Amino acid sequence: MTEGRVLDEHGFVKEGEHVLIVLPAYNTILPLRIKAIKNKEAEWWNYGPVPYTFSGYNEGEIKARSATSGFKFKDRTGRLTGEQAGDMFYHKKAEKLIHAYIDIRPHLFRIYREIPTGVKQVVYLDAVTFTTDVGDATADFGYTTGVVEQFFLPNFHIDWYVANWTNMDLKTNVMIKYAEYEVEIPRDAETIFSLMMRKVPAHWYTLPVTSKHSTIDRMFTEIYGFAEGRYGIPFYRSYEREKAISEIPEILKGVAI
Amino acid sequence: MSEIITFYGETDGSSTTGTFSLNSDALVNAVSYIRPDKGMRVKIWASLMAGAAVTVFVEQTDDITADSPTYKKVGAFHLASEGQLHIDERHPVELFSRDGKQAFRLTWSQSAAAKSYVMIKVEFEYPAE
Repeated sequence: MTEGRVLDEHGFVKEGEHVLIVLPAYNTILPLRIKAIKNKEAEWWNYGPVPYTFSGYNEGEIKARSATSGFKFKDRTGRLTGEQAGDMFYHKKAEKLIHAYIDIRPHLFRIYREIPTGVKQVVYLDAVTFTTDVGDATADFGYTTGVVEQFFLPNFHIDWYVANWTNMDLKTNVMIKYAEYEVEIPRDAETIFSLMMRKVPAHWYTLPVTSKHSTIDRMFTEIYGFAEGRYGIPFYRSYEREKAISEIPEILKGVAI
Repeated sequence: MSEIITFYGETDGSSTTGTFSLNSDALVNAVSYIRPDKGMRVKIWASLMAGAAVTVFVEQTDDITADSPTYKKVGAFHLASEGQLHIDERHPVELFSRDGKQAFRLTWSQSAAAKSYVMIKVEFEYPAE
């Protein structure tokens, strides 16, 4: 029921509600309050074919028994420049957060991600890292299917892989349902602790990051303005309220939003 | 979340038996069999048959990677005389890919070779969805 109170009918966080980004590698959370949705009731981005081209195929045609290399959702409007031209979800604005549901049709694919680019985060029991090699057992985990929920935080790229294990060369279409949020970091320590203890409802989202990375470090320090070595709010235990209330104001000193 | 793809095939008009070449708007090229991903459940929901009398068989193999895959019949649709038959399946032909090597195809059998046409709706579903 919490989600029903926090999320709207499209699956987006309502204005005034909170999203808690959980970062397992850092054992921290990034609490964000939604101030506004910039594209309210205009949530569709009709993207088109998967932005990847196999040799000898048209863009978006996924070769049978094959996986793409890593790709980003390049800008198709021709209006984005720099790094955003090659990755429409990339940004460096602390006050922005993009929440997307990415639907790659047909639903016959295994979808893998590198977060950030070049880093395969899913490592089973710290021993086996997934691959995207069709036919190999190491590609039997580390993927999702169907519609993928993804938050796009600032300062790092995400690479996508689409693997087609069928024997059919398949044409694709990508429909993106997204919300462009204006966000702020709540400053009240009591509120943050209550969010963390689930006493205040919020949309929890685990960014599947299990190893630290310099671009994510810099997201906290250079974009959000946390002090060096501070990568979000520590995941306090339920009996650490006093500690949390005393530490959180110091942790948030200097944050940009 | 499943996906339903409509496939179309036709007899060659000159052979009394054969294997359909199946095509779809979702496919780049036609295929002579369909090999789902490991763990996928496949349901053949409905069919439209038209043209000359024909029996269409659904055949499944346990190992499409074999040099000469062995197929067994697991379903059939029958158009008794020239015309059109629309079958809404209450109980679809269900197939399951256990290890990724399973595949299925459609074949035809006619008493006299003639053009017949078939359309099937196939639902593909990953088990956890």
